[in-house]
Amino acid sequence: MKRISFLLILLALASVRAWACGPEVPNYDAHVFRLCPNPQHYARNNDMRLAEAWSQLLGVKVTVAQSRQLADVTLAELDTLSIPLVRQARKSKEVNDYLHTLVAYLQATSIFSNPWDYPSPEEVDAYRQQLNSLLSTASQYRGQQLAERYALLRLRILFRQQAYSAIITQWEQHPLTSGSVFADMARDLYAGALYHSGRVEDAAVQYAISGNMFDAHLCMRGLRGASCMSRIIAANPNSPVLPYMVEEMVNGFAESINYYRALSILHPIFQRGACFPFEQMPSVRIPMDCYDLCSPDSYDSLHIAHLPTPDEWFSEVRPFQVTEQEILHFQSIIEKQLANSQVQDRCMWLSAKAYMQYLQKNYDVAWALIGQAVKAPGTPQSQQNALYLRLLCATRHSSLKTMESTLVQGLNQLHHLSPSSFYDWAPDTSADGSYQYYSGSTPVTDFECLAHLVSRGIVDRYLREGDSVMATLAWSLLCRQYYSPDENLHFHLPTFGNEHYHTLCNLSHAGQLSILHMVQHPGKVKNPLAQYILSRNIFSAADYLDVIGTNLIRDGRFEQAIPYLQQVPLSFLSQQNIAPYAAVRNVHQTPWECVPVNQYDDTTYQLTTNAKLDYCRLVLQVQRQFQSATGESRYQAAYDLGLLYHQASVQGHCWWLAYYGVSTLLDFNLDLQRGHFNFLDQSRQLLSLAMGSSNPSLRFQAAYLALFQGLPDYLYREWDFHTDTYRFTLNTHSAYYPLLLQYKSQLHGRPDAPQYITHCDLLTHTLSLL
Amino acid sequence: MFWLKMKFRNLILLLLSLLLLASCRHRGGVPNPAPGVYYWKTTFELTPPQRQWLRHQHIQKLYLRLFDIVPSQQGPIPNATITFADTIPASLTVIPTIFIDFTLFRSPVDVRVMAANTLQRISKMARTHGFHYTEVQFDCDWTPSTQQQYFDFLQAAHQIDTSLILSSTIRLHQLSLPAPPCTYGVLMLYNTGNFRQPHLQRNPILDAEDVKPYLQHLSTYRLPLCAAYPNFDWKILFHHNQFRGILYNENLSDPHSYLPINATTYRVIAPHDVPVAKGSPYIHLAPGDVVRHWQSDPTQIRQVQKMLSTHSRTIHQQTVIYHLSAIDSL
Repeated sequence: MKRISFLLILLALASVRAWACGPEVPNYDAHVFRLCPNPQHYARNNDMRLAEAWSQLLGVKVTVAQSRQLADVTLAELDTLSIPLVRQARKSKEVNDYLHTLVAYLQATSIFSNPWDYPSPEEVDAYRQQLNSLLSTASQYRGQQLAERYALLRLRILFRQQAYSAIITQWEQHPLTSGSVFADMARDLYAGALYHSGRVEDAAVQYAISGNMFDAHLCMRGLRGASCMSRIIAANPNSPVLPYMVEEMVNGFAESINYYRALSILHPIFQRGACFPFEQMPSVRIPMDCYDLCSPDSYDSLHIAHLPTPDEWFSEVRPFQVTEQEILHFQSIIEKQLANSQVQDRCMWLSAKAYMQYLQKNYDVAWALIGQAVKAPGTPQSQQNALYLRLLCATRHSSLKTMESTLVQGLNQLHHLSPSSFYDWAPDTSADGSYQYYSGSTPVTDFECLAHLVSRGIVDRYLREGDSVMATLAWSLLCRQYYSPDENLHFHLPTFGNEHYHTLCNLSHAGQLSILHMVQHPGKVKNPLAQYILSRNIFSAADYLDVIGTNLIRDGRFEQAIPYLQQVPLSFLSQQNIAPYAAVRNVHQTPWECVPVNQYDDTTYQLTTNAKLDYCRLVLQVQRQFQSATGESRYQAAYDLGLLYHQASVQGHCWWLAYYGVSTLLDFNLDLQRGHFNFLDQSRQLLSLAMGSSNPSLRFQAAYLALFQGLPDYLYREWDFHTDTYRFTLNTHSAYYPLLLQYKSQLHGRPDAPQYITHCDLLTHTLSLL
Repeated sequence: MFWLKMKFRNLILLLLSLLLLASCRHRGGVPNPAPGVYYWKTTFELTPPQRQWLRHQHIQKLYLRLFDIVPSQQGPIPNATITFADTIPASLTVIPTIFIDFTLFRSPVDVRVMAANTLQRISKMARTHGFHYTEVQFDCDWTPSTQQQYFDFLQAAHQIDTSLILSSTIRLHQLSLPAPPCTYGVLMLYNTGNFRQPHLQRNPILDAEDVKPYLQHLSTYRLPLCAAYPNFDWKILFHHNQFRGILYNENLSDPHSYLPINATTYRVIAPHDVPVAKGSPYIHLAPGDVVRHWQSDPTQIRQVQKMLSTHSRTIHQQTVIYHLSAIDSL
């Protein structure tokens, strides 16, 4: 059902072009069949390889930032620049000469950095002469050490001169095949020259060989479909562009299934067993409000929007929509390729076959095929893809133990294959030293793929097994990207969008304790997958203790919360993002005495007491007082307890006692809806009782607090577009409405009314509506 | 089919000649009226047929698109600047033409800076490529919500160089809006329909029926106008009734690849790949795909010409053809 709901929400989101302001539903339906390197990695990878090449040449550590700095310096500045790269280069005339030629080239080609500039005839002449001169210099080098660098520089100059035929000739006579970063960059220039000479498909092949899938994709766009693939295979069964085409085809198949499966849930016309009915789309309509989607009654809702057409759906995603006919054709291509002994990347074709079976829910067949794929020869990218798909298939294996052992082995293997320098958090070299999250180069270090495996595979499986504890624990595998190692920021488990936290909060208390126990005693955990997840978990026991204690407060189980909150260190609490609130607010302040808090200031707080723990103890004490009090003291105790309950509610200024965040997205009756302790309702009843006191001051306080609390419930505010003013309406069905009437009849207009009431224009206006 | 094609080709050439000949008979709103043509590609390179056509038709004005202005995070910037692989014939008066993406006017723009940058860049390009100009034309699909900033931009450009003639393209829908502050407008009598629709009955390049609703505004329009007529054709590819692209130089009369369904519709019968522009990436055509072939229709052009003449006596003082590159495919 969760998946269905997700698809429905996703479908609804797809039908609405833009959400002005609101949470985004995470998309775990990633295109996980990955045969081509992530295009975004290419430039970053080259930057890192260039810096590494400088380091090797000079024998000193050269960073990416230093390497990039060369593009911003002038020749004059170069002589005084004091960075390791330049200092070390000065020691060798050969290297120093190259560095000067390179900087001269970079300087010459960056003169038009202002897009509005246009070169004068004199500048054009000077530019041409400079390029000619640089070309001459670069052509004179006869050494070996810098031969590739100079060859690349020559091609760069020729490219600037638009001498495409010269580039093609030079490359075809003297190709660079060492696999170095210079060879790959030079191949890109050759590909560019082919492209500009009208040899677009040849260009795509060269881009694909160098790993520049972004430009390969540009050249190949529009070249889709099985018949097109057949033509390319006929020319070369191992064409370097085939991974791109196979990836597009398989992910297109997955996306077509997503689309039509979502449709079949919405409209019975698609419930015919076929995965992808390709007839003309009927004009189906769906409700606008995605939260209504799960209710069958809502199909007839008046709030309707057009169902996204296949074009609208597929314009949002890269893969194209594939037809049944294309899939049949593609399957026959796979069989022919596998029967062809000349085909080298057999892993790719077997993986495609396996994953398509997986998508069609033929899990046993998929498992057998993917087992063959991981053993078959293929490129490193194909083999990593197969390893990843094997993990996905394992989540559907009939044996839970097989799934767990396969996942542990495979996840470790894939992590080992991804160089740690390439993923995870790293300083953002282009900016101010802040941290940037980089997805890794293997499927399990690529966040999208990992998220798909966790959500659609592991979590889904455990939920079907009825093991919500393991399902919750598994979500923690996705937490790394939320947490920067930057010391100035310190986030904790409760974070918006953190599925691990959200599922933990919805877990039973016993389930929460199970996870806490595993976190506190990982050595006692028997399940190998749980062990693996715990080894990757970035949260401490304090995180879980605080969440459990806070959830117990939210449920009104104050006494039970105490033992957990007692174990949370103050140093931990002082680093929480709600620490500023805990530092300056207290439960005794009424809302009109509340202190504003800037959560984002740089103040470091050192809390001296655990406010949540104090709150629990105080509530228990006042509860006891209220239960035993009589007469006027009972009214005072009712007010005191009412104020305490109000403070911890979503309306209170100490909401951080029971929640980690509140926003207008949270409903007024959130507590009630989730079956939690109804702070607001309990508070209203107690304040209503306190309004019976003979003490005028207490009556005013209780009445005003109740009316303050219930404002969103009894007073509706709408913008009137005709008068450009707010229009107020009273909700006479609100539980607070009788209190409003009671206040008007008994307290309104009295000369002894305190200033905080007489100054409240909103209350005055509300009373005028009665 | 071939005969039909030849006949069509002759007709459009003949009609365009007559239209151009009809130009400059009168003196009036458009300064120095003369037969003109647009050049809209990103590389300036004249083919022998184009040079011949320019001579034979006595074309005097070349409305040469130099660059576009598009929105960016840094504000309006030039884009798709033309490169010169050829020299401009000395017989032609160049009118630098700038396409402005009207969406940039949806946000506040410093129109004075934009106008100064634009005129300065045109001036530099003219100097570098050795052409003289006394007029600049702006092409912008402005709407009521973007009109004010576009008009402010034109006024700013005029204030920077009062000696310069400024003209603007006028789309049919803009006839019902206030006229822009410039010397004259070129009424665009092409792209009157939505070619992305698979089942169009009317020619989206130009159909008199699509022009009729706008004629009522012509006699009261407060700007001298001349007319721009089309000479191009479109081959529009549809896959499952969804628009996929415009085909470049595709031979629809190849019986191995296409089955003619009617005068404007062809069905793909053999899969193949074709470029969408010269030297561009390819697009795959699958069996069952449909290509709609729309051509500038001489009958429609003549009909529109007659209709316009009855509402404006001066509009055909000057005629501009859109566009020169289409000469190669006629």
